[in-house]
Amino acid sequence: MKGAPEGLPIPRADAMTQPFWEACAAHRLVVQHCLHCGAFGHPPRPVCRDCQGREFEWSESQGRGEVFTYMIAHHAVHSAVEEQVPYGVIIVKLDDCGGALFTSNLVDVDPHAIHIGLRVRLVWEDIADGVALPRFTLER
Amino acid sequence: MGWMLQDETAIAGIGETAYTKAGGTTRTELDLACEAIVRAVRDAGLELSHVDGLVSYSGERAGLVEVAQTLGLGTLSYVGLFPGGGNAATGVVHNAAVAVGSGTARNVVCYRSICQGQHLRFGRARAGQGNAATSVGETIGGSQAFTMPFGLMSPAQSYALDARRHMHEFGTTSEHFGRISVACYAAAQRNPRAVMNGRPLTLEMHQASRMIADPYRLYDCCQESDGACAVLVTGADRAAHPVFIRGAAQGLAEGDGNDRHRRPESLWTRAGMETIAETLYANAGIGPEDIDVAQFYENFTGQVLMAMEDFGFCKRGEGGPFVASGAIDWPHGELPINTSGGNLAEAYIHGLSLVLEGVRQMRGTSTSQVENARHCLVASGPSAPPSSALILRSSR
Repeated sequence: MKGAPEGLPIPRADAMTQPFWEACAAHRLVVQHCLHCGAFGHPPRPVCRDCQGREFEWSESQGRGEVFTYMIAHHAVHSAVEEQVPYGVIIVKLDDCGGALFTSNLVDVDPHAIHIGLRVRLVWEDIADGVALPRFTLER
Repeated sequence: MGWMLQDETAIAGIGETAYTKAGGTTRTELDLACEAIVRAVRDAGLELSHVDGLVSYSGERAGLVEVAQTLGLGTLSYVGLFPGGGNAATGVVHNAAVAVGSGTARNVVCYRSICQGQHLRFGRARAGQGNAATSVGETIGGSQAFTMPFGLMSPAQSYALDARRHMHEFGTTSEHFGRISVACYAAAQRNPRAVMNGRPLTLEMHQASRMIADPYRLYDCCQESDGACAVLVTGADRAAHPVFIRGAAQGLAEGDGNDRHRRPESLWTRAGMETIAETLYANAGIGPEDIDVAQFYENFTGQVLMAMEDFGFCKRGEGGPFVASGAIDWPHGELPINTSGGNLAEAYIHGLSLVLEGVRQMRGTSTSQVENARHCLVASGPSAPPSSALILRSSR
């Protein structure tokens, strides 16, 4: 995808994060939701930080939000991206799921056009067999 | 009522090796650690046989046991390992002070040795944290699985996100960040030990330097170095020329480090040191108006600016105008900072070199001495939990 770095290490799930990455593979962005106090938390953890509850459901996001902050990588710190700099990395604040924050990329946008407050919507990229990354594009 | 150890312990000795850029030495980290420790012990007027405690940071490759056995330290009453890297620079001294103040040990040495040229660079994509990090493979697990696949892979890139928020909320500029680099490089020109001695920096050079992780430019980022530092902590009544440990504090701010996805919005523009500052001033019984000189750990310039706000030297969001006013510039500014050149321009020994400079200021021996300085703040790695800070007091 244009604007998103490619060839980087792919996510490796563990017992805690497996449901999240499996949902991604099915193109569903989910956020851990505490059944006791209703708090949302990302990334998933074994214990709710607010009430210490241990029972959760996975709440699906509609995938709309805004750029909370961003940076533009100019210096390549991994060999895979040496030909891909500059590229942008955004922190997205979702409209739903308690305003959960996600690290992602804004595709089809010049990195120098990224700014805080930009409205974005979710798009999926399948990067390997059974592995998909949630990226974002302009909402319009 | 302040901290029960207020002024009860002191730094009696400091030691360091020569500093070079990463890759500048072929000597081992163990070798450098031993050199720095021996110098610190002799500087305190003691013998190695007097050392009964040893403290370092987690991920220290010149390990506590290896160092103790190499130096023939024999029986130790106390060993301590503070978690992390630069966040621990003052935490190790706090740890030693508690050991001494409680009577657990009498003379405790804190040290850090880094030959970064012989190991993975801090600024490369790596799996894990600090000195314990390893090369990254084709997959990445843990919390980094939520960042690295998207290209967020280095400290500069992560901290740039916070700097951008500060610029957005408060109108802070790259020139403001540059003022911090310029102050550090100016101090390094007066310090013959500094790696960047002989390489002055102007604000124009800072502004013309290449982007690393926008908004951070090359000169916003600390160096990577080879070298070692050590300090000896003892009871204040036993030190011949004590620099008193007036106060010490540690803290862990919500959402710092790799937990940034859960960080409350208001904390994105802070250095995670507000509660540390509050505790530190309370236990030292003084406030920011009593601090004459400060050493702020610079991982990146924006984090220094945020730490100055956290420690109350200016109002929230006013760090930019504060540094632009000349407040941090030696000798006439109200708060000269990083008077050795700091991590940016002296050497990057995970911040322990900043403690040594704090001691020199309190002894009156800095190459950028602040006249009549009585209290020095030393703040360790911002937004890197658990963070820590010290206030040193002069006996002059």
